Amino acid sequence: MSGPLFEWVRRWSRRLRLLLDHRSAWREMDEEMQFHLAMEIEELVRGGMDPAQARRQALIRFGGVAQLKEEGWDARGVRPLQDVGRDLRYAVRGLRRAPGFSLVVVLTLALGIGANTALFSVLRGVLFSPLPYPEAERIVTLWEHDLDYEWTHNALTAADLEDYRAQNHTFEAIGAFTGGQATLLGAGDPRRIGVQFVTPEVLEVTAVAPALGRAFMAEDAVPGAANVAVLSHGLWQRAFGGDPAALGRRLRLDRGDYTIVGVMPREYRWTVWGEPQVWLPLRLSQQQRADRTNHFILGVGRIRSGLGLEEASADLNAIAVQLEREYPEANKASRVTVESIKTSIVGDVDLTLWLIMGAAGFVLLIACANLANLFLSRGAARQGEMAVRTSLGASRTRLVRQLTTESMLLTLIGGVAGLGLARFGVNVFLALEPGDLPRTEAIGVDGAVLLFCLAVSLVTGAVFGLLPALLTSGTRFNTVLRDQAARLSQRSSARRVKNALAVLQMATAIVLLGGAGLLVRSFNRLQAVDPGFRTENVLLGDVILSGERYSDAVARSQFQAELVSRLERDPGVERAALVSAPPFSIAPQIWTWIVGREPVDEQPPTTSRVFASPGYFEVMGISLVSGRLFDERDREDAPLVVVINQEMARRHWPDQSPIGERFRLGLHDYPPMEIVGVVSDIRQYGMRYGAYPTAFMPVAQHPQWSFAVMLETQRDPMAAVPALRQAVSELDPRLAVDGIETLEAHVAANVASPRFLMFLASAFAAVALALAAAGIYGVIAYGVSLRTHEIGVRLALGARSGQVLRSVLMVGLRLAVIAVALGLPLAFVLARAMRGLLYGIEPADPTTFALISSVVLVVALVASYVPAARAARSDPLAALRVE
Amino acid sequence: MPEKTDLLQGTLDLLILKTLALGPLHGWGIAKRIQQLSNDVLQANQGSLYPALYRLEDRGLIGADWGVSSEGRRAKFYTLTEAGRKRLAADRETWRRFATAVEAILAAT
Repeated sequence: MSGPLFEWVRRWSRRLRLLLDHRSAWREMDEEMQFHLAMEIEELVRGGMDPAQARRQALIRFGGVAQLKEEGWDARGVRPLQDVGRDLRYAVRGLRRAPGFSLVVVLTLALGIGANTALFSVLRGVLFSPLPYPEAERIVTLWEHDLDYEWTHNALTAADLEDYRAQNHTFEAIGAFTGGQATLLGAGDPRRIGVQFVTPEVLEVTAVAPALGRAFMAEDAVPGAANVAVLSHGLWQRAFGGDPAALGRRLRLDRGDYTIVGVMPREYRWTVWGEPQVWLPLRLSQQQRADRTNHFILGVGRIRSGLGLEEASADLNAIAVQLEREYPEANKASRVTVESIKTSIVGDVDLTLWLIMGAAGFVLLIACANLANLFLSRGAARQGEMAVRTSLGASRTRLVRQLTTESMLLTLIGGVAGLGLARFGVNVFLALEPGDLPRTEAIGVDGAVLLFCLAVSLVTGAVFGLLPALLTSGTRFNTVLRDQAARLSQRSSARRVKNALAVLQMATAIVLLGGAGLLVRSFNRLQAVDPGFRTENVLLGDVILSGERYSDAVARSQFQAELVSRLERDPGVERAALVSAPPFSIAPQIWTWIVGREPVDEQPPTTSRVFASPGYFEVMGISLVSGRLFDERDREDAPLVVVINQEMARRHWPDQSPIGERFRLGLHDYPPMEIVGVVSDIRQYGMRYGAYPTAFMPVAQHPQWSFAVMLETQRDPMAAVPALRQAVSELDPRLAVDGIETLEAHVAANVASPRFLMFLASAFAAVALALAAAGIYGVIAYGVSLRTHEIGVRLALGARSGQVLRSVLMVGLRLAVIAVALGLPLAFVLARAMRGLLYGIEPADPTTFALISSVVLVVALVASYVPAARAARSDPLAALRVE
Repeated sequence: MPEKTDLLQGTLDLLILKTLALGPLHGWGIAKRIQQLSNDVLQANQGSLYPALYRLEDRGLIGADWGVSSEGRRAKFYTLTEAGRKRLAADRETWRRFATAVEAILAAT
């Protein structure tokens, strides 16, 4: 330990020991001085003095023993400690005398500190806590950046990635991975699990060793090598009960059998592009390695130590420019996005999280202002006491310290309670959170959170304690006891501070109300949107046809037809349908060429491509506008047909009937198809996004590998789940049905995020408004109590009580108007920052802001009315007697 | 008896440390030793001696232990700590420079 610090610690521990045993310390001092006296007397007696005379002489020479002991005690440096102890005892006594007051203060603080601590632990876990990879700041993901279309997060081609890997000067290692799904067999019901195909370098990049067994090696990536797999900790636990003997065993997947060679540690999670439960070696064929048009993999790299994102990005983009020169067609406008792995994992939740954290901070600020006001009012009641103590020699610092001890004690109690609330709050937050928060496993109450809680408590205590303490302690004895004018001016300076605090509170509440108001109105708009389809009594489930036999289109087609007819035979199912992209999921948008029209020079228009079975339109309640829907005629060997939506008809055939027209989707993918029908629009991509030109093609003509099953039922759709599982497993026991939910739940999940955010923001805004109302009530009531005398005089002189009422109300109104003037610009700033979270409403929405301004004015008036009415009713004589 | 002089502010600490450098002493002994060594010129009165002792003890420059005096009485004996020894050397140097400087000014004509 360093010298001065060591010395400091020793000194304070010495002082503490002394203080704890101060009785024997005083006894020793006494004994020491008695010894001194005895020696003195003896010396005098030795010099020939009479003992009694000597004793008197020695006592005179020595001076007051009691005072000397006090001085000696002072010199030992324990006074400050003792003062703290005394202040604490005094504070505890004071708080116990006013239990209601203390309870209100502690509860307010516990809520404020608790909310902030809870959100801090969420923020810290999601945004700030390190990822479970060594030196994670050096790990980046690599994506294609298409300059022409401004697509920054495209998949890469294996050929390009290989060039980046071979030619760069800034990376230690670059690996490639693709995401996917597989069906797990041999462990109960077939189950779909996330799979990731990785090159051996990926595990090298993340630099995390397997908990068990080994990672992939270069040999594993060679085509034709033995099938090996590395399990995630979760899958190892679920499928193998965490048995170490799982190493060397077989993992049965629909795509083949794999030998388990390793298990990753529990904290190793990889959430870019889905969350895999098993890793398989990525084996690139010769053809894939040469193809510069097939975008299907992502890169992950570890930047060399000492280099940053910019250098790495510049390095790879220089290679990309070179590649564009070499392959001008395939690599046209192709660059690289180099993104930190943290950004890839955390994504864009930070704005939402910061907004919520900010709201909690504002609420705490308002709570602080309220408490400062409470303490000021209490301080006013104690001015006499303070003045007396000052006149008896207590220094101002001493009084301030005593008063702040009280507020600090309260905040610390509030902080401890807040910490408990925070732990509870985090769980509530995670339970309500609609599932789009990444890294929730990193959220918890740890040392940093404790530190934050302590810091917030101390700052809070200082903020709301110091100001009233400074104001209250500045009282002079004579001013209080004699000079009434001075006393009034002292009080009015306290009132000015209180007014300023109330304005601050209301202005802050306006900012919060503004944010919440916009979110509520935007959510209402979103809710009012008609998605264009019916949601009740429909069940959804996904099926993927995996396995060798489905490479045959006829097998897929038979499976689809058989599945629909089996399901429709079930008495609980009204209708069954298959669709490649159920509502609120991504339907690919494909370039479109209309037969008979000149090809356009620039980018061709795009159309959403959806494959559906004939029953789809009926299950969804989509109505036929003209022409016909699919039917039995539309078989594989029949002419290709397509049904389009109204949006597409409007866009391409605004003045004519599209029926009978033909168009082609994609470059070579599909031959021209004839439009046979037009149907009503639905919102394919989510509540937020309007209808997009869409082409529906029959699954019978385009048998799919992967589709959603939609069942229309008469009653509770979940009752049809066993029938669905049974039908699929009867057709092929190796297939799993995944993602089973009702269409209603599916639709609700689409607006879960805005709903959650709106809920939180409204809750905070409501608390803020309530606190601000309490604050303005307190300030007006205080103002009225100061004016008791004046009001009495005015009433005695014949003022009507209505006039008194009005004058008090005007005070509250004036404060509220100032608060609105201050708060609105701030609210606009916040509103602009949250533009991306709003739907169908401008950030500067006049209705919202007019509404919240009037809410604040009305609340201020109502809060002022109570004390105002009391003042107006007061008895002039009683009021005059007060002074 | 020669005229007694009050101690300059701050010099008492130095004198206490110096007397203790010669060996452990109780409070009364320190006062007597200062008086003797200064040929009765300097008087450390109790009112400042004991606060000074407690202050030095608080700073860790001297330590204290109860023992028995030569007269057979229980007494509190003070000893110089290692930190006190260092402080004594430093303060002594400061004092010398101070005294020389004051003397130089007073000697000026």
